Formats: sequence, structure tokens, C-alpha cells
Amino acid sequence: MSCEFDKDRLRALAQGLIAGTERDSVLAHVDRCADCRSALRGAEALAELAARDTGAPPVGLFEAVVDKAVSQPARAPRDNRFWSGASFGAIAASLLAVGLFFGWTDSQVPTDRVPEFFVSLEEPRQMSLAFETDRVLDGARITILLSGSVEIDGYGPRRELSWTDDLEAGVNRLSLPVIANGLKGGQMVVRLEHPQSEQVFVVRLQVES
Amino acid sequence: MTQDARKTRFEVLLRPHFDALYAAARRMTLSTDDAEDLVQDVALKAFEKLDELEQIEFPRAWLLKVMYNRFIDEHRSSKRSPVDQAATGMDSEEPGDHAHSRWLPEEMLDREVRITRILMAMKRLDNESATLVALRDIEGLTIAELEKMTGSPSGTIKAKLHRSRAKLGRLLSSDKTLKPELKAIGGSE
Repeated sequence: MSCEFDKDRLRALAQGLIAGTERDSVLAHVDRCADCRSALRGAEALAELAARDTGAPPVGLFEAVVDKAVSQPARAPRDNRFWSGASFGAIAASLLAVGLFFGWTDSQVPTDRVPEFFVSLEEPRQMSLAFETDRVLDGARITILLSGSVEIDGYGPRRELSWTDDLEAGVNRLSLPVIANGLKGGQMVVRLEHPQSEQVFVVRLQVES
Repeated sequence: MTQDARKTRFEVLLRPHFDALYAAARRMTLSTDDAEDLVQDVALKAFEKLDELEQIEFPRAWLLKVMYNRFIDEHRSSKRSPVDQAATGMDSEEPGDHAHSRWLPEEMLDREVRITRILMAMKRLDNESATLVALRDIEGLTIAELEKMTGSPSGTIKAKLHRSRAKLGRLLSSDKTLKPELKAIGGSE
């Protein structure tokens, strides 16, 4: 099923290690070969991760890590903090995730832990929602409910948007231009429904001073 | 052997690889808190296996492999409620993270969204594939190092790498952008 093309050249192209006629020949092959096209896409994504600026470890971290490891030889159960940061946490205000996985349903975020998104009176700001599912969902119902002094730009005073869409397995992005029309802020409720499952997600909308 | 002596042995083993470990953790997370947690997690595991680690040829590869395995495992177990995760990620009080929790410029947001999509796609790979491809394409381990680490011949490793990259590419290509349809709108002020 796999072609005979030298796959190392795909990685080299993704990492910017080849140019000129060699690069052209790889691209020509990729145009004809769907499998290698996907592999190149994957290699480019990995190259982007590799290129991330990471910085040096904070001063004193090595000593702290060693001390803790030595003083806690028995491994304690951990929470999922690094995953929260990995995908959603640190950018939760700009990329908000709504997951729909089968086997659990309807989890409402406690009010004291509701993520926040900052809106402006002067210009709409794009709120990116990531609808993540573990399988294709045909006919999923997405509902957006707004309260308070906020609106979705272009939709006027409407408080509810609702539509049906087919979701691909994986990440489905939705960008909403949100703008404040008063100072008190508001709340957005996002509901993702499917006959087999449902998820509700709440975002607090704060007006940037 | 005293605890102090064991600690010294551990420092000697870990020190040369610590920057690489931290960099790997930062690549796979978007906050320093989370990266430090991940590094700590690997260090705990490494200290447990100190005697074994001192005997192997490529401790860095072992440490990174543990890190990526932990990363993917945590991703999987966290599928229970990504909504909760979105909320819990907001509790950082670190100045750098606070800046993230407010508005990001569009170009920065695009980059963060792309990185997030890549990380989310990686979690859909099986542990072996995700770890192998990360060690090769992100951490820069050689095929020879991967051969020693896995015990598999280079041809097998190269084939697995290609399949993993292709699957990652397909996962990323399947992402979809949604558009609300005005005609379905209801509700009132």
C-alpha cells in the first residue's frame, strides 16, 4: 500500500533541509501520492512543534525537581494539570474547547471555575471554540445562548443562535466575533447536542477596561 | 547507601538531560506550570528507576520516552471532561500565563490554535507511534538511537515513522471549520 519513495526526503523537506530541484522533485511526488502528502503534513506539524521557543528552565527548578523526587520515592496519583495546559488551559480564553466523547454526558462547569473571555466595546473579538469529538457526528445541534451586555457581531440583539451541522472526528473549529454593548459583561452558554450525548459549556464574558 | 549519596547519583544522571527534558515539556504544554509538572513527573519515575537508568546507554532517550508516554497517557485519561480542563487551566497566577488568559493578538492566536490542533491530533496516535515520531522529529534522536531504544531494525522504525506522520497528517487534515447558518436562528432580546 505504501509507495517506494524515500520517506526521509519528506522529513527533510518539512524541516527545510532541502531546496531547489530536490525540493521540487519531492513536491512533484507529493502531488501524486496521497499517503506521502499526509506524511508531509504530519512532518510539517512536528517540525512546527520542534521549532517552538521553549526557553531555559527557571533558576532553581533542577534543584526543586531533584529534592521532590528524592523526598517522594513513592509515586502519588496525579491530577491532569499538564494536559489542561497542553491543549486548553493556557489558551482557554482564546480557544475554548467543547468536547463530546461518548461514555460521559452533560457536565456543567461549576460557576466558580468558569473560563473567561475578554471582550471590547470598541471592536469585535474572535472567540474560537474547538468542538472535539471522538467520532463523526452527523446532525449535531449547536446552540449559543447569550446573556448580559454582549452580542455576536452581525447578529444584532439576538440572544440565541442554533443550527445543525455535521462534525468531523477530531477538532471542529468555530469562530464567533463577540463585542460588548455595555460595561457589565455577560455569559455565553454553548450547547452541543447529539442523540447519543450532550455537552454544555459556559464562558464568562468580561468587558476589558 | 545513604539517601544523600543516592541523591548525588540522581543529580549526576539527570543534570546533563534536564534542559532537554524541560524544553520537551514546554513544547508539549502551553504553560510553564504544566511543563514543570511534567518534568517533575518524569523525575519521580527516573528516581525510582535510578539503578536501571545508570546502566543504559541512552538515558536521555529513556527520559524523553517516559515524558512522551506520560503526556499521551494523560491526554487519554483526560478525555473524561475537556470542559473541566478548560476551566482548571485558568487558575495559574503566573504573570506569563495571565497574559495568555487574556486576549491574544490574531497572529499569536493562530499559532496557538495550530499548536493546539497538533497536540490534540498527537493524542490520537497510539503511545508507541506518538513517542517514536516525537523522539525522531521533535527531539532529533537518530535512527540508530531509536534502534537501540526499541530493539527494532531501522527499516521497521522508518516504516512506523512514516505511518505515524501520515496518520498525524490525516488527522490534521480532517479538522473542520464550522459556520453558523443564519436561517436557523431563533430567540429574542
